[in-house]
Amino acid sequence: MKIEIKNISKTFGDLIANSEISISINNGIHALLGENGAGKSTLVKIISGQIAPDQGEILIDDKSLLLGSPKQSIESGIGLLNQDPLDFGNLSVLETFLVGIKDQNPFRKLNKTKQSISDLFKKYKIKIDFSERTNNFSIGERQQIELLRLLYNGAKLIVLDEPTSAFSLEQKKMMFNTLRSLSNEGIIIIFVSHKLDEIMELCDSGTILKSGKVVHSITKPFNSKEIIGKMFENTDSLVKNDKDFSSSEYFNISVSNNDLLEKEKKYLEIKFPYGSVIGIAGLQGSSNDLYIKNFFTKDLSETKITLDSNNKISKKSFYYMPADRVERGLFRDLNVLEHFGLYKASESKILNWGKIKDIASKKISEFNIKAKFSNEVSELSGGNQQRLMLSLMPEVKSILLLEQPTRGLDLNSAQNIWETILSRKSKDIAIIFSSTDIDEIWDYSDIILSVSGRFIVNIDYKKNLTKEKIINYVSGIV
Amino acid sequence: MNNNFEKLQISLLRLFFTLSIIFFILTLFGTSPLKVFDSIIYGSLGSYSKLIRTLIVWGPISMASIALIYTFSAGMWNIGIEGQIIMGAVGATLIARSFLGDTFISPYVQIIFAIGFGGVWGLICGLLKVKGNVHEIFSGLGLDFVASGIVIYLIIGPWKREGIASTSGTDIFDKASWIPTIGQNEFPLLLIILILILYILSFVVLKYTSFGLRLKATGVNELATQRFYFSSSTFILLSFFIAGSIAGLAGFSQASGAYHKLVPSISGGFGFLSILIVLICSRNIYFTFIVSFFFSALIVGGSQLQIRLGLDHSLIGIIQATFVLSWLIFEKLKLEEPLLKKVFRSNK
Amino acid sequence: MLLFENTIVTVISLSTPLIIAVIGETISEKSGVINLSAEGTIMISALCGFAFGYLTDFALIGFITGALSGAFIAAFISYCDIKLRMDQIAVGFVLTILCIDLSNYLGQEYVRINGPIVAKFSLPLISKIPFFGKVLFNHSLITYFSILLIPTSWFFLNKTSLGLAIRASGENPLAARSRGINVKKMRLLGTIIGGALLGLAGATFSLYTKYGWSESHTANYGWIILAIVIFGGWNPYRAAAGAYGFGLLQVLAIKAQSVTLALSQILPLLPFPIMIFILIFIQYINRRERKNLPKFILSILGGNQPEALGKKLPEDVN
Repeated sequence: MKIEIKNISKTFGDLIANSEISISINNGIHALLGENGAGKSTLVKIISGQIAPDQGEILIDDKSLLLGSPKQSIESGIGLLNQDPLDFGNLSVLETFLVGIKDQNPFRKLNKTKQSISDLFKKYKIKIDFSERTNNFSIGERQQIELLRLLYNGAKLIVLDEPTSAFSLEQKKMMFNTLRSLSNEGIIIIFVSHKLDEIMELCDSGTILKSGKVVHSITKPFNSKEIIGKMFENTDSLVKNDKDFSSSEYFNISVSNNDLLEKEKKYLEIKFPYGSVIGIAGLQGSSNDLYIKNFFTKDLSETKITLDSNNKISKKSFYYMPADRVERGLFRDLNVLEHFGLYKASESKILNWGKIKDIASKKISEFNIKAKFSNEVSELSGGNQQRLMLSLMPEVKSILLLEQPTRGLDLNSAQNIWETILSRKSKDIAIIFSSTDIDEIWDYSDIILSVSGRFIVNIDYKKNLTKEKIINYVSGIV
Repeated sequence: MNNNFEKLQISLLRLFFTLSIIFFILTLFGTSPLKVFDSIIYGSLGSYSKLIRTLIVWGPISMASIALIYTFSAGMWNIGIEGQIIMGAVGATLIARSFLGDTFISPYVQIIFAIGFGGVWGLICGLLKVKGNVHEIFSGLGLDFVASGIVIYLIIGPWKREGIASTSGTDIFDKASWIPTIGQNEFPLLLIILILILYILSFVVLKYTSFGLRLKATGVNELATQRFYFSSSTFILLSFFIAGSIAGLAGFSQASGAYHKLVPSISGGFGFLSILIVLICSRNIYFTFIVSFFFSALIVGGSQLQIRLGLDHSLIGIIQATFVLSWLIFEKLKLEEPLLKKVFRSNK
Repeated sequence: MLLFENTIVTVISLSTPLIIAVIGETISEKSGVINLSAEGTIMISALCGFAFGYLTDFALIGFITGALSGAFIAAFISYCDIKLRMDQIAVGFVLTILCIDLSNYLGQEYVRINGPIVAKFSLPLISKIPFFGKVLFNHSLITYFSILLIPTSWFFLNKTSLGLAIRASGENPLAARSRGINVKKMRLLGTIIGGALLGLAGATFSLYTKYGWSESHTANYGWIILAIVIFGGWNPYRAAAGAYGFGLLQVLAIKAQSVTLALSQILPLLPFPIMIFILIFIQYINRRERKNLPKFILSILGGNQPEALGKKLPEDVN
C-alpha cells in the first residue's frame, strides 16, 4: 500500500492550517513532526476524513480518496489512533471491538467473531480479557486494543496522533514492538509526535511541518540538532533578561528523588534568590507543564517550593496560569470585566465596578487584549485569552507559575509580555515558567530546569549551560 | 445605547411571537383568546381587593423566584424548592400555634423560623451534592416528598383541627399571627416590604459583592475557582442555604398571609412555577421582578375563568408553560434579529 | 402461603406500567437523553389512552394512542436537544408542567367515567402449575407484555448491532461517529422508543392499573421512574427489580392502611420518598466508599452512567 498526499491546503477563517502539503509514503514508519500549531492535527483530521480540505487530493494505491468522510477513509483502509483512546469506557472490550465492525451481523456469528479477535490478539502477543470493561485497562492497553481493532477492520495505513503521552515505559515498549511487526507486514504507519527520542527510536523517515508547510524531509539516521533547528523558529529576542541584582532573601526548590532521571544524586534542595526566573524546558508531551501545576496543587509529586525563612507560603501567594486557558484557567460564561472583578474579589468584599473598570482598562491596554468588557471569554481568540490570563497576575509579591506563557502569541506580543513579566523581577519571589521553545527558555531564564518525559534531568544556572546541552537533556540524551 | 435598545426590540418581538403561539393554542381549544385575557386582567387587577389578592400571590412567587436565582447562579437545579417552601410554612405554623401565637411579635418570629426551616431543608440538598455527589434533582425530589408527608402528618395528627382530623388544614391562626396589613382592604404592607428588601438586597449582593461574582463563577470550573482562591463547594452549599431560606420566607407568606393556616398544598406548585419564571429571565433581577408579577396576575385572574367563562383553571398552567417553552425555543431559533434587520432595511 | 402468592400476583400486576416506563426510560438514557418530562408524558398518555379507549370502546386503540403521544413528546425533546441544542433538563421540566396541566384541562370531561377494562387472560394449562403457574400466568396481556419486555429490551441493547450502536452513541458520540455511526439518528431512535414506552405505560395506568381518569391521575409516578432507572444502573433487569420493589412497597402500604387507619393518608405517599432515599443512599455509598467495597457488592450497587447522558452532542458530529 502507498499513500500520496498532494497539495493539501486548509484554512480556518484567517488561520492557514495547511498550505500545499505534499508527502509521499511507500512503506515503513513515517514521522510527522512540528511545533504546536504547525498543522499536524489538521492534516491528520483530513487524512482520517473528519474534515475536508479546501484543495488537494490524497491517493491511496493510486486511487483518489473521497475526502471529508470518516466512513470512506475507513473503507479505504485508513485507521486513526487518537491521543485519547476513542473507545467506550463503559463497554466491554469485546463490545468496543464490535461497534462499527466491518462484519455484517456480528451478533449472529458471535463465537466466530470472538475467535477471530482472539487469534488476532494472540498473533501480537497481547493478553486481554474481552469481557472486562474497557476503562478497567490503562491507557496504554486501551490504545493497543484500538490498534488491533483498526487492523481487524482492514486498516492498511495507521495514523497515530501523539499516542504515547500517557504511556509507561513498559507500555511504550509493547506498542513499539507491535508497530514494528505491523510495519514489517507492509502496513504504513504515520507517527505524529513531539518526542524526539521516540521518533529516533521507532521511525524510518519523517516530514517536518512548520506554519502549515512542509519544511524538511528526514530519513534514518537522524540528526537531532538538525531536526530541532528546523522545527523551531530561530528568534533573536530584543528583550533580554539581563537585569542583574542581588537579593537577600532566598527560596528553595526541593526536588523529590522520584522525579530525578539519575537517581544517584541525593535529594536535591537548591537555594535561589528572590526574583529568579526559572525556565522549565521540555519537549511537547513532557511533564514540564505538570511540574508547574504541581507547585500549586501539590498533588502530583513531592517536588516543592519552600521559603528559606521557613514561613509557610499561603495559596494566595501563588499565581498559577494553566496552559488550557478556557478549560481550567478562566470561566467560559463570565465576561472580561467580570474576570477582573474576580481578581478584585479576593481582596475586598464589596466590588467597586468603577475602580474595576479602571483596572481593567489599564490592563487591557497594557497587555494589548483585543476585547470589550462585555465579551464572554468563549468569544475571544486564543491569543487574547492568553493575554487576559496574563493580565490577571496579582500586584502583590508572588510566585508566578506560568505554563507556556506565550503559547499561541505572535512574536511581538510575546516580547511585550516578557518585558512586563521581567519588570516584576524586583517585586516577586519567583517567576517560574514552562516552555517547549528552547530559545524562549534561553533568552529569559536565570536558571534552567530540563525535563525529559516525566523526569528532571538537570537543574543549573544558565551561565553553566549551553543551548546544545539543554537540547540534549530534553531529548533524553544524557 | 444602541445595544440595549436593540435588545429591547428583540425582546418585544419575541414577546409578540410567544403571545401569538398562546393565542393560537387558545383558539385551538375553542376559547376566545381575547375573552380569556380580558377575564384574567379583570380578575387580577380589576379592583383594589383583586389587586391585593394578586399581591398576596406575588409574594411567594417573587420570593421563590429570587431564591432560585441564587442556586441557578451556582449552576444547580433546585427542584427541592417546593419542599423548602413547605418547611418554611411549617416553621411559621409552629410559631403561630405556640404561646407566641397571639402576640404582636408572632409574624416576626414566624419569619425567623420560616427562614431557618427552609434554609436547613435547602442545606440538606447542598450537603448531599457536595459530600456525596448526589444529583440535586433527586435529593430535591425526595425532600419534596418528605416535606409533603410531614405536612399531611401534622395536619391530621398533632396539629389537627379541634374535633375532626381533616385534610382541609389546621385551625385558622390567631389574628395576631396573620401577616400585618394596612387599612380596610388589608393591604399586605409587610409582604411588599419584604419583597422589596429581598430584591434590592439581592441586586446589591449579586452585582456588587465579591460573594455575588464568585457565586456566578461557581459551578463548572473547580480548578479555576481554586486559582481565584475560593472553593466551588462552599459556594454551592451557601447557594442552597440562601435559596432555602428565601423559599422558607415564601412559605411564611403562604401560611401567614394567604391561607392563615397550614394546608396540604401550602406551596401551591409555586416552586415549580418559579423555576419556569427564572428559566426565561436568565438571572436578570429586573425581569424576575416583573415576570413574577405577571405570572401571579395570571393565577389570580385565572381563578375567575371558571366563573366567567366556564374554563378550568388548569388553562392558566397551560398558558404559563407554553409561554416559557415558546420563549425558550424562540431564544434558540434567533429569528428576531434577522427579521428586524430586514424590516428596518426596507424602511430605509 | 396464599397471602404470599396473592401478594406477588398483586405486585406484578400493579407494577406493570412501572416496568414498561422504566425500561423505556432506560433505553432513552442509554442513548444519551434524559426524558425529564416523564411525569408529564405519562399523565397525558394516560389521558389519551383512556379517552381513545373509551371513545372507540377498544382498549388496544387506547394503548396505541398512548404510545404515540409518548413518542411525539419524545420526538419534540429530541428536536430541541439535537437541532436546537437546548438543555435537555430545562425542556423536559417545562414539558412536564405543560403536559400535567394539559392533561388536567383536556381530561375534564373524562373524569369518573367508566371505560374499557383490560381483562385477565389466563394462559391455559400452564396457569394451573402450583405456585409459579398461579403467580405468573394469570395476568392480563399487557402484564405479559411487560414481563416479556424485560429480556427483550436487554437482548436488544446488548445483543444486536442496533442496540450496540445506540449505546455507543450514548457513551462517546465522537468515537461512534468516527466509526461511521449516525449518532443523531441513534439518539433520536433511542429517545422515541423510550418515549413510546413511557406513553404505553401511561395508557396502562388508566386502562388497567388505576381504571379511568381523574385529576393528576398518575401523580408522582413519572418522577419515581426517573429515580428507579438510576437505581437500576441503566440495566433492564435491575431496573425491573427496582420497579417490582417499588410495587411491593405500594402493596405493603395499602395493606398497612387497613391496619392503622390513623396514618392511612400518608401511607400511599411513603413509597416515593423511601425509594428516593434508597437511591440517595446507594449513590452516596457508591461515590464515597467505592474503593472500600467488596467487588460483589459493587456489582450489585454499581451502575454505569452513560458518559454522554444529558450532554449536548459535540459540535463536530455531523
